[in-house]
Amino acid sequence: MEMDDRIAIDLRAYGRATDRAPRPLDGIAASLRAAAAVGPLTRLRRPLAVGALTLAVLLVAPVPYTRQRGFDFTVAADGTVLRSPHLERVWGPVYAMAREKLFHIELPLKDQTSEELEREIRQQLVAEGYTVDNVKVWRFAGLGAGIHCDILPPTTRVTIDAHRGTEPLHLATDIDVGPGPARLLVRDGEVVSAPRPNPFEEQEMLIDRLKACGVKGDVTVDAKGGVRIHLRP
Amino acid sequence: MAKQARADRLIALLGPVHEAAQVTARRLCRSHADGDDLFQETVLRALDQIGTLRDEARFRGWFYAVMVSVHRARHRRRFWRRLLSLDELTFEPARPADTETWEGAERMAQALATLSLAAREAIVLFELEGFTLEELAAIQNDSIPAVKSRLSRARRRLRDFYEKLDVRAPISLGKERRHGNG
Repeated sequence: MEMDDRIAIDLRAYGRATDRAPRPLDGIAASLRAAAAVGPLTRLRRPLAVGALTLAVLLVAPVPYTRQRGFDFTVAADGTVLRSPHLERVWGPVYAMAREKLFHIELPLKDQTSEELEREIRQQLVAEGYTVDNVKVWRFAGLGAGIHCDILPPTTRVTIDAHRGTEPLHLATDIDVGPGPARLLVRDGEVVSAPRPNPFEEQEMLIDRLKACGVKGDVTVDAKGGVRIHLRP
Repeated sequence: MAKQARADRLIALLGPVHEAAQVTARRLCRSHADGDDLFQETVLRALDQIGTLRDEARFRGWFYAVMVSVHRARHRRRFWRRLLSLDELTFEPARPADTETWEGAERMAQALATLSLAAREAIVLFELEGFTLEELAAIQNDSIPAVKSRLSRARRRLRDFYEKLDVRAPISLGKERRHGNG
């Protein structure tokens, strides 16, 4: 068959064209003896060392990332408190960034009922400052577990005492300290109509109250009566 | 020293086969440089594994089986190289050749490049290196029927490639040689 003949001819041509004088055995022997002297581990070690070095550089080399450091609170004239996360742009190694981003829960799955797991998850989340609304665990024989959690934004109770004239006012609010912007209402609506003390008195009062609550923070009161509180962790 | 003794043993066994093995390595690859790298890597792998060779009379088949294993590992590593088009294939004739031989060889290099890895190995080892079906089955770690079937499919594929080129024997090739090599 013509085509098969052509293929056979070309195969022979390919065989002849690739059949050049190969490397002499002496050269191969020298390479082999050198490789034997070095050993397979050393041959393997070089690429491993390069990989490990690259990984180490990646982990240690600083990268830019945004992290949250406290919150900015603004008390508006109508008595509402606006909270926004105080973000800062920093440079740091990858592992430091990962530590900022990760939240870790360890669960002993073995020999634990679903109720015990739910309790354990709830306890660990609460210990981290989260408010847990609902935790549900499903166990599947031989397939692991499914977990559903409804986590409310963590809150911090801030209590501020104020005065309306000579009448003391008690202002208490649960401030959402979870991520993202939020608008929170002060519970005691009477403060809305209360005459404010002058800015310096208000600033000192708020700082004192924050200290009394065990909260560190900076308070700024502007000329228009706006209050800005920066809570530090 | 154990390692040096292993190296000496391998050198002694390589003596009668190293030339053919180097040529085979070049035939399996898409360039001579790749073929030389394949042979070098095969020798190093063989040095690590020479302790597993019990019957020295079977060294040739054993060494080619190591080469096929290294060839496939290299192919897996070089993922992007598999995407090279046939136009990018650079065929370098190893020795001076007339125009017809050179063009036929280049055409076959392109045809072989269209085959799967195992099919290319089967054609090269069976048609060019003269291994029997039994030896080929042992080298490719497959059954004889599987190897027969692979060879049959590979030949059909080569035929398809040639039919698309519409090249039949005997032919007169009037093209100028593109690469000078004697």
